[in-house]
Amino acid sequence: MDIFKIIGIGIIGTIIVGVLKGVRSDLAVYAIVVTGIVMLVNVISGLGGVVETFSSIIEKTKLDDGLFSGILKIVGIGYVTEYSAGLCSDAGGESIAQKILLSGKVAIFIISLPILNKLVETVVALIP
Amino acid sequence: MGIDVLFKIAGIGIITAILNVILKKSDKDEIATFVTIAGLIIVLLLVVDMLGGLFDSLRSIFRLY
Repeated sequence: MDIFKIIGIGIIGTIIVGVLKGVRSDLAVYAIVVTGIVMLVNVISGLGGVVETFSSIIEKTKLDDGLFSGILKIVGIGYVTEYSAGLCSDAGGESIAQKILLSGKVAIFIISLPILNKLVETVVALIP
Repeated sequence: MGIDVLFKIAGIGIITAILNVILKKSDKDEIATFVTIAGLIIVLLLVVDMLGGLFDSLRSIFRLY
């Protein structure tokens, strides 16, 4: 997860997209996609460790691990939708990007329902 | 999963563009379109394969089953 490496990949990617737009514009979209993939793979390599430490902390608190996996899912969905929406708007599909963002919001909302449910239960349990 | 894939795509793009020009000059237009489509398919397979790998690793990290 070396930030300079990722920035370098991004710059090289934009240069290659520029070259491809001039020579063959239909392949430029692929170059955009591949640049995104390579950068995200480098970023993700560092993320695995963070998730492990978080789950070990959560175990100490004896909380129900459904909460934590829900939050993890929400963060994951956020990343994926953000990444693909940016990709689609780059490649020219502006409306597609908006639809991806909308579906991401709906998915996050669906996942957050059980957490909300648990919150209400605990609050009700507190009231004498 | 390095940057070499990016250069591969750029190479394919440039080569197919040159082949197109050559084939068009020697008035073999239908082969030129074949070359264009072949380039597109090769790059498509490459990209879809990488995308699958990326989404698998994302799914395994965020436990998004």
